[in-house]
Amino acid sequence: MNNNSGDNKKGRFEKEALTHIDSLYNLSLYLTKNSDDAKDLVQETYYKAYKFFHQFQKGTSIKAWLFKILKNTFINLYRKRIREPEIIDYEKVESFIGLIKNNNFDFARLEEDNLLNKFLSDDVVSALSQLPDDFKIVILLSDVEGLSYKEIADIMECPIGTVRSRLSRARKMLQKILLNYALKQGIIKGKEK
Amino acid sequence: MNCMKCQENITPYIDNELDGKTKREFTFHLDICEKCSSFYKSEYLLKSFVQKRLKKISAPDDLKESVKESIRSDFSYKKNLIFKKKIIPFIRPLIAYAAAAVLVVFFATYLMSKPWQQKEVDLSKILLPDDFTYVSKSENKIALTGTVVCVCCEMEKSSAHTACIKFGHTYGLKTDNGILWTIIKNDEGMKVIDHSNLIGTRVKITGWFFFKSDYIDLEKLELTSLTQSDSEILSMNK
Ligand SMILES: [Zn+2]
Ligand SMILES: [Zn+2]
Repeated sequence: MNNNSGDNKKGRFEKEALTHIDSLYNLSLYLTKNSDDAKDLVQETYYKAYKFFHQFQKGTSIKAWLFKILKNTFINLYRKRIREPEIIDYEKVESFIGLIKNNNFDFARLEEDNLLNKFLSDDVVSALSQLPDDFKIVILLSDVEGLSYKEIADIMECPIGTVRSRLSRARKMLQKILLNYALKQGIIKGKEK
Repeated sequence: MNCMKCQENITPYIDNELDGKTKREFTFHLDICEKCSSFYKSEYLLKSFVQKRLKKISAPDDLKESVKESIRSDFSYKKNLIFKKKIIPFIRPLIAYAAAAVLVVFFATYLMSKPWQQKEVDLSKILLPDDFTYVSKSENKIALTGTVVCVCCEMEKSSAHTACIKFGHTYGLKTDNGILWTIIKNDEGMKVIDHSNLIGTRVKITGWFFFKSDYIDLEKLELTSLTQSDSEILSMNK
């Protein structure tokens, strides 16, 4: 009953994998930065996932598995076409010396002064899209998709400690970008010269 | 738990990834350390802010339909090549070594998108002291003078920060316009970081400056003797 088992696979795949299409598209959009490429990346991810569906281990997270395929597809097919900087060993990079605040303001103060609501969702999107890909991905997987460090480490194929340090740095960068943005827009006042 | 360990645990604490014992030690330290608890607060706020504001963008209906179609037809109509469209230029880092590369990839993108050379960006005006000179404009490599300080103690404004006395200072440069720059821990930077006796010393620094974040990637550090006007300023501040 070849036909039957084929239909079975289709049905199962559609039911289990297709439900994550919004998450996959959202990540794709941040990686490719345009909706056409994002759609293609999602298509290609589903194609590969379908083709290798038999390799998916039941009982593990299919969402994480799909993210991993998406990330690798992006790296292989997309990022290679773009001039890339030398491979950076993030772990060798010393962690930055805390979050340094200009004298008068820090991110927490934005909250105290009720200024956080002055940011638009677009500002946050644009702040996030300025991060390097690896940093972008951990923020999306952790803070938007709510995945655990373990799951993110599986997807990124890196140690859990790396997930932690990337998240920490990514958040510091985001704070910085948002603060600078707030300065420029006059939401907060810069230091007098 | 000391400040360093505590600050390492801020991220996993926020993401609920710490075991019970570490969690207790962590919160215990936060209760007694203002510096760490302010770092914690900032990161916690950032995370919840991102979660609140970053709306997930749903896949468009036509994509959903076409993926569904593809599955039902065993992907028999699949396009072969993808990503033939717009390629976004990726900016190469200007600085070769790794310590700065992460920052550069990110800041180069940022700077390129809103060239700070242009007049209307007054942020750079706010941040740059008067006495800086360009060594290489295209690389944001500049030279300027300032005083070696501990950034934490400086921010406290009062006497030395108690946490610093216990766990060491965070070295940086204070330029004459009052901006605090943090020194990145590369080989050259470590010379400053390892020598606490440099605090209070006037120095001339050459390096790559990250104006948006106030980091300096040190290339060279020279001691300068006080100029006439420097000593005047210093004595006035007493
Ligand atoms: Zn502390
Ligand atoms: Zn100090």
